[in-house]
Amino acid sequence: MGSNGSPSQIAEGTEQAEDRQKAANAAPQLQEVLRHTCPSPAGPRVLSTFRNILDRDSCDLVWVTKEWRPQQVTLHARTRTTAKIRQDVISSPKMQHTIEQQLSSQNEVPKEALWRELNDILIEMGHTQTMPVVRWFGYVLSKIMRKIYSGVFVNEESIARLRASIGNNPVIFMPSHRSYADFLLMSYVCFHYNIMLPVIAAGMDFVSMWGVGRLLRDSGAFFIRRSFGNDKLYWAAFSEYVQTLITAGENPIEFFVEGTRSRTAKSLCPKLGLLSVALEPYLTGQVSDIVVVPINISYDRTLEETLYSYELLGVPKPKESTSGLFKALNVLDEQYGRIHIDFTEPISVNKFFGDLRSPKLMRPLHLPHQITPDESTRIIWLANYVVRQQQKNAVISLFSLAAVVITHHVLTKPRNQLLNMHQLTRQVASLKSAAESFGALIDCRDNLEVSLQDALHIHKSLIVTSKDGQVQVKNVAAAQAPVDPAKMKGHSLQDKTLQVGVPMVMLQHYVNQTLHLFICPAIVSLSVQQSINQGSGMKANVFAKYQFLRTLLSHEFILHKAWETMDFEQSIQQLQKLGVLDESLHDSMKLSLGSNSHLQQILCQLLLPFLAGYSSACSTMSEVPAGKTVSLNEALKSTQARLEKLLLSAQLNHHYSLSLDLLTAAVNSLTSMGAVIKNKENGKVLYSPNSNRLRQVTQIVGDFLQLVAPICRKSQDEQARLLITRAKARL
Amino acid sequence: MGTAESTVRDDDNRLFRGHSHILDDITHLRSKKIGKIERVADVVIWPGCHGDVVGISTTEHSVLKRYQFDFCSICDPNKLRMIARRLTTANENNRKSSGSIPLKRQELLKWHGWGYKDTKVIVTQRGKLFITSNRYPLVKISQVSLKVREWIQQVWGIDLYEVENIPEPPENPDISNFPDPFLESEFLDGLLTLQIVYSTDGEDRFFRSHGQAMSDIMNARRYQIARLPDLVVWPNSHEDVVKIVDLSNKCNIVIIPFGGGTNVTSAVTCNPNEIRMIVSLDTSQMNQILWLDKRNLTVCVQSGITGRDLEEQLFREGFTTGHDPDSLEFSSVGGWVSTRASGMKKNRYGNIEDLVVHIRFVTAVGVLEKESRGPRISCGIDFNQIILGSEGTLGVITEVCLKVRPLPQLQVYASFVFPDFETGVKFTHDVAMKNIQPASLRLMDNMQFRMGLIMKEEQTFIGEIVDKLKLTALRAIANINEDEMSFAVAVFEGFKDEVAINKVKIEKLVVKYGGVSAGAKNGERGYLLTSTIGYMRDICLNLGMLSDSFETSVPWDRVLQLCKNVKSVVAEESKEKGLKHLSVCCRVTQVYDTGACVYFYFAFNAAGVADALRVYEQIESRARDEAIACGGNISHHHGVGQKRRKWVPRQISPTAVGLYSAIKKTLDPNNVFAVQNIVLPAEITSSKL
Repeated sequence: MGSNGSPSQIAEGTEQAEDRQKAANAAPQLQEVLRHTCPSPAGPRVLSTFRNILDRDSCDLVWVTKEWRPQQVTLHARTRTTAKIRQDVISSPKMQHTIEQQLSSQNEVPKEALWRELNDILIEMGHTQTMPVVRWFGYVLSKIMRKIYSGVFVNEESIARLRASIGNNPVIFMPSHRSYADFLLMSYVCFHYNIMLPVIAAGMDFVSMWGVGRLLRDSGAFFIRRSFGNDKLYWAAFSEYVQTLITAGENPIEFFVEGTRSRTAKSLCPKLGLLSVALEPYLTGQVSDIVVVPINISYDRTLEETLYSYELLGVPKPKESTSGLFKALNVLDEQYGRIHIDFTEPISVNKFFGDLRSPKLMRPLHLPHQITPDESTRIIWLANYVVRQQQKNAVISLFSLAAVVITHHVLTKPRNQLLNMHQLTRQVASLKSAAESFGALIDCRDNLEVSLQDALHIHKSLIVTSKDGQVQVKNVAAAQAPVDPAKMKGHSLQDKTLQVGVPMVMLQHYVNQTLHLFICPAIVSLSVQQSINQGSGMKANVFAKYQFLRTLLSHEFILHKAWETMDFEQSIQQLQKLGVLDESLHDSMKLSLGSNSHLQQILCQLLLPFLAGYSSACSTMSEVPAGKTVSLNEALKSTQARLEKLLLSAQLNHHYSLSLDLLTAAVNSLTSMGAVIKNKENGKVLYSPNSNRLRQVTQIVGDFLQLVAPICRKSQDEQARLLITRAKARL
Repeated sequence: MGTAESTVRDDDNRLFRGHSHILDDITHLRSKKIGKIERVADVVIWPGCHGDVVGISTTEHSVLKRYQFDFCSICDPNKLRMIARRLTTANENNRKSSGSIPLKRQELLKWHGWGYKDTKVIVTQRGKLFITSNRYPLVKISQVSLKVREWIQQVWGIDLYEVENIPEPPENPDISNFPDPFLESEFLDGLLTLQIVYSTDGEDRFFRSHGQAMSDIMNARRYQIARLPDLVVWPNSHEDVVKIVDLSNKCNIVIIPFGGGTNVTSAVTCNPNEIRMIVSLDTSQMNQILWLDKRNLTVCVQSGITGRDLEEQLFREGFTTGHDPDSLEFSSVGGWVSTRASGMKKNRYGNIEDLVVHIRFVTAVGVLEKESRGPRISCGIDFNQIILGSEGTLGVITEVCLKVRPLPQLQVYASFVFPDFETGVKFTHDVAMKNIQPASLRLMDNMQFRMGLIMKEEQTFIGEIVDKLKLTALRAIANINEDEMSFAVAVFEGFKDEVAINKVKIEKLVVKYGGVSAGAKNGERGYLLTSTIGYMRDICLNLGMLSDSFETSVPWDRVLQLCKNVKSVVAEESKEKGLKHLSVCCRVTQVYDTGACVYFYFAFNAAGVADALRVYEQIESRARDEAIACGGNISHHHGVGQKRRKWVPRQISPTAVGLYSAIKKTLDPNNVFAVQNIVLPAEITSSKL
C-alpha cells in the first residue's frame, strides 16, 4: 500500500467515490427515517413465542375445510375475478395511453395486434386463486410437511403484530428466499392464521411444468418473465398488473426482494425493479400507505442443498419439469428438521417516504411515473432495510454453528487430528454465545449437547458421527452421475475436485446462514489485525481498511453504505465484549487485539473463501492483455481454472472459492470499484481491466488473504481422505 | 332599564368618549351584576350612513332604534336621558331597511356554536330529535329508528335512546372570563370625532375573536382564546371604513375585518403576541343594497349584507345572484369575496369570482377599485384577483357589484341512488364529460347517507312497511345494497323545457350507471340537511363527539383514490391514537369539467381521549397532507386562514409567496391588517421580493 494513501481511496473510481460520499451523507438521514419508521421491538426474541402450526388440535381434513373468513387486507376491498382484474388492467388509463399513444404510433404496429398481445400477456401472467384448490393443496402439503419436517414454527407474537397493522392499507409480504418451499409456506401460514392469502409473484419457469404451473396459479401465483429487456408492452402490462393488485388491496402481495432463490443461503443483494413498481401507487398518491412486511423463513436443512452445491460449482441446474419434480420426490424420504417463520415489524412506506411524496402530481395518472433520484435512493434503502430485517429475524440452527466449527477444523488442523463430539460441543457453545451477543436467536431447545446431536442427525447425509465420537464430513458427490463437461457452466472441474467440492460447498451453505451475524465483526477484526501488523492500530486506519473490505464485499453481503459507521462502532463494541479486541484501552483512538484469539481466528477464517476467490478474480482480470476484453463467462471459467490449480497444489484449500456466485460477485465488485471496466458491445457485456487500479486492489486483497490463509495446509487429496466415501449416496 | 339609577362619574371623561362603556353597562345590567357597575347609561349612539344618527337603547331587550341626533349634546348625561325618552316615542319609518344581523350579534346568535340562539336540536326520550324553531322547513320531530340507533351505537359508541338532557353550555358566556381591553386613547378620540359606533364590551369582543371551526368553538366554550380584539367598531359605509383605516394607519392600530363570522379557518383569530391595539371591524351594519340595475343585471351592495338578506330583497324584485353557500344566512358578501367562496348552484351561476363585477377595496394606502362596470376588461393584470382571497390581510372590502339573474321559472329537486360510491363518482364524472351539470349535483358516500337518516321523520307503521318494500325492491331489481349504495341529490333550475331536457339527460345517465331515481322529496331533504349541519355539529359536541368537516378539490382521475386514501389515513391515524369510536365520510359537492370538490366529515367520540382537540387537529392535518399528496388542493372554498398556512408555499410556489409578501408590504406598509392569514409571518419577513 505504502504511499498510495488509504485503501478505500485507491480502490474507488471517482464516480463511485462520489456516490459513496452521497450515501455516507445520507446515512444519518436514513437513521432518522428508520427511527420514525420502526420502533425497536420491545424485547429480545425468544423461541417460546414460536408455535408449531403442524401441531394443531384438529386433523388436517377438518383444518383445510374450515370456514374461510380471513382478515381483510383493506376494508371494503372486493375480491375480483381473474377476468375482472384483466379487464381492469386493459381498461386502465395508463395501459390505454401506452398502447394508443405510445407503442402504436411509435412503432407503427396496428393497435388491434397490441391489444391482442396484451391480452395474451395477461392470460399468461394472471393468477386464478381458487379456494377449493388451495384447500386441497393445503391438505397435501400438510401431509408432506408432517413427513419431512419436525415442525413449522411461526412466531405468534409477530402474527399478532401483523394482524394489528393490517386492515387499512395494501400489504406486501417480502419473505427471504432460500427454497421453492417458500412459495407455499406463506400461503400455508396465512391460511392457518385466517389472513387473506397472498398473491405471489413467481418466475415464469414454473409455467412450463405440466400441472404445477396450473396448481401454483390456482393457489395465487402470477408469473413474470425472467427478463423482458426493452419490451415496453410487457413492462407496462406487468407494472399495471402489480399496481392494480396494490391499489385494490384485496390480497397481500408477496414477492421475493432478492429476486431469486439464494443458492448460497446468504441474502442476495435486493432487486429493485418489482419493488419500485409496487411502490409507484404510493409515490403517485393512489394509495395512502403500503405496509411492507419483511419475513424470515429459516430452514434447518434446505431441500435443494445438493442441487445448489452442484449449481454453484457450475454443474447446470436441471430445467424445471414435472418429471424432475417427481424424481425429486425421494427428497421426501429424508428429514429436514424445523422451519422457523418470523414476520418482522411491519414497515409503513409512508413513514419511510413521507417527506418525498408528491410534487409531480400535476402529471395526470396515465403518464408513467419517473422515479426521481431521491426516491430511488430511498427505494434502495428500503430494499436493503427489508433484507437486513429478514436477516435480523432469522432463527439460526445449531448445525450452522457446527458447520462453522467443522469447516474451521477441516481447514486448519492436520488430517490425522479428527474432530470429536466433545470438542465440537465445546466450540459450538462458545460460538453460540458469541452469536447471541451479535443478536442471534439460536434454535437450541434442549441442553446444547442433545440439541446439537439432534441437529447433526438431521444432516446425517452430510455429517456423520462415528461410534467413538468422531465427526466427519461425508462425500455426497460419490454417486452422482458423471457430469458431461460440455454442460458445465464454468470451468469443467475435475472429478476429484467435485468430490471434495460438493460437500464442502454444502457445508458452506450452512456456514453462510450465520454470516450476516459475523461479517462485520469479521471484517473489523481482520482490519484490526492487519493494521496492527503494519504497526498502526489507529482507529482511523482500521476504519479505512474496514471500508475497503466492506466495499469489496458489498456485492456478497448486505453491507449498504448507509450503515457503515454504525456497523463499525457496534462491531467494535461487541468484539471488545467478547475479548476479541482489547477492552482495557487507554487510548480510545487505538485498537488492539484481545485475548480471545481463537474466536478472532474463526472470524477471520470466515473471510477466506471470499478473499481467495476475489484474489483469483483479480489475477485473472489482470492477465487480460491491455486493449482486450473478456465476457463474464470467460472470466469465471479461467478464474475457476486458476482456483482449481491452487486447490490441487494445496495453495488453497477452501472449495467454496470456486462458487460461480462468489466469482460473479467478485467481478461486479471489481467493476463498481473501478478496477474492471464494463463495456457493452453489440448487446454483449464485456470486461477489461483498469490496470493501475486493478493492481492496487489485487495487492490489497492479496495482503488480506495472506493474513487469513490457514496455518496448516492440506492438499486436496489429503482433504478427500477426510471424507468418508459412501458406496451409495441418495442424491 | 329606565329604572336603573345611573351613577355616572363625571370625572371619568372616557365615559363620554367611549360609547363602549355604555354598551358594557347594558350587558352588566342584564346579567344582574349591578354591584360591579361603576358607570351606567342607557343610551347607545349609532351613526348612520346619512349623516349623524344615534340609536338609543331603552328597553331590556335592547331594541335599537335610530334617530337624527346632535352629537355634542351627549356630554350631559341628564340631557342624554331626556333625549332618549323623547326619541323612544318618535316614529321610525324614515329608516333604511335594517339587516338581519344586529349590532349585538349575541342577541340573535349562539356564542357557543353555530347559528340562531332559538334553534337547537334536542334529543328527547327514546331517540326523538326535536328542533326548537321554525326557521328550517324540516320535520320538527324526527325519530331515530332502531336500526340507525344500533348503527350509531356501533360507530360512535353513543346510544341515542339514552341521551336525554345532554349538558349544554349556558346561554350567555361568563363575562368574568374576558380580559380588559388595551385601548389607545388617540384612536378612541378619533372614533369619537368620526362619530362611529364602537364597543369595548367583553362579550362583543369575545364574539368576534373566533370563527366557526370546531376548534374555535371548543376554545370559545372553554374561554381559551389567547387574545380578544380590544374594540369592535361598526362602520356604516365605505366612507366610514376609509376613515377608520386612515385613523388606524395613523395610530398604529391593527384592524381585523369581520363579516359573518362563519369562517372555519381561524381567519379572525388575533395574534396573541400582538402588542398593538386590535380592532375588529364588523361590517354587519353595512348591509344595504345600494342599487339594483335590472337592465344590466347587476346589483351593488355594501359588503356586510348577508346572503339571506340580499337574496330576500332580490327575490322581491324577481332576481337572484344564484350564490348559495351553506352559510347563506350568516355569511356576508365581503366574506365571500375575501375567501373566494363557492355556492351550491355554481354550475348555473358561477362561483364568487364569476359573479363579481366590481369591488371597492379600502387599503392602508388608498382605495383599490377598477373604473369599469363593463362585462369584461383586458387591461393588464386583473387586480380584482388580489382582492379575491385576500382573507382580510390587505384591506377591507366595502362595496361589491355582483351579477344577478332573473329568478328561474322552475326549480326542481331530484335524488338518485347508485350501487356504490365508485359508480356514483363515475356518474358525476360522466355528467361533467357530457357537460350536462344541473344547477347543483352532490354525491354522498354510504356513511354520509346513513348519517342523514338520523334526521328522518317518524315512521308510521305503513310507512315503515313501504320503506322495507322499497329497499327489497332496490336490492332485487337494481342490485343495490343498502350498506353499499351512494346517494346523489340534484337541483335543476331554469325554464320549464330547459329543466325537462336536462332532467331526461341526467336520468338516462343514471340508468347507465346502474342507479335508480329516489324522488324529489329526498333531494330536497338532502339540501335542507346541509343547512342544519352546523347545528348537528353542535349537538355532536354536546354529546362528546368532536366533529368537523374539511374540503378539497381534485382532478377527476384522482377523486376516488383521494376519497379512499383520506379515509384510510384517518382510520389508520385514529387507530394509532387509540380512538375507538369514529366515523369518516365524504361527499362530492361540486362537479366541474376538470374535477370535483370533495368534503370530508370526521367525527370521533372524545370520551377518555386526552387532549382530544389536539388529537383531532393532528388527524385532520394528516388527512390534509394525504389529500394534497393525492393531488388535492389545500382548499376548494374555505380558504387558508391561519389553519392551513403550512401547505401554502408548496401549493403556490415560494415565488408566489414572495409576490404575496411584496403586495402585502406595498399595500399595508404599517401592517394594519395584521391578521396572519394565508402565509406564515416569518415567510413574509424572509421574502426577498
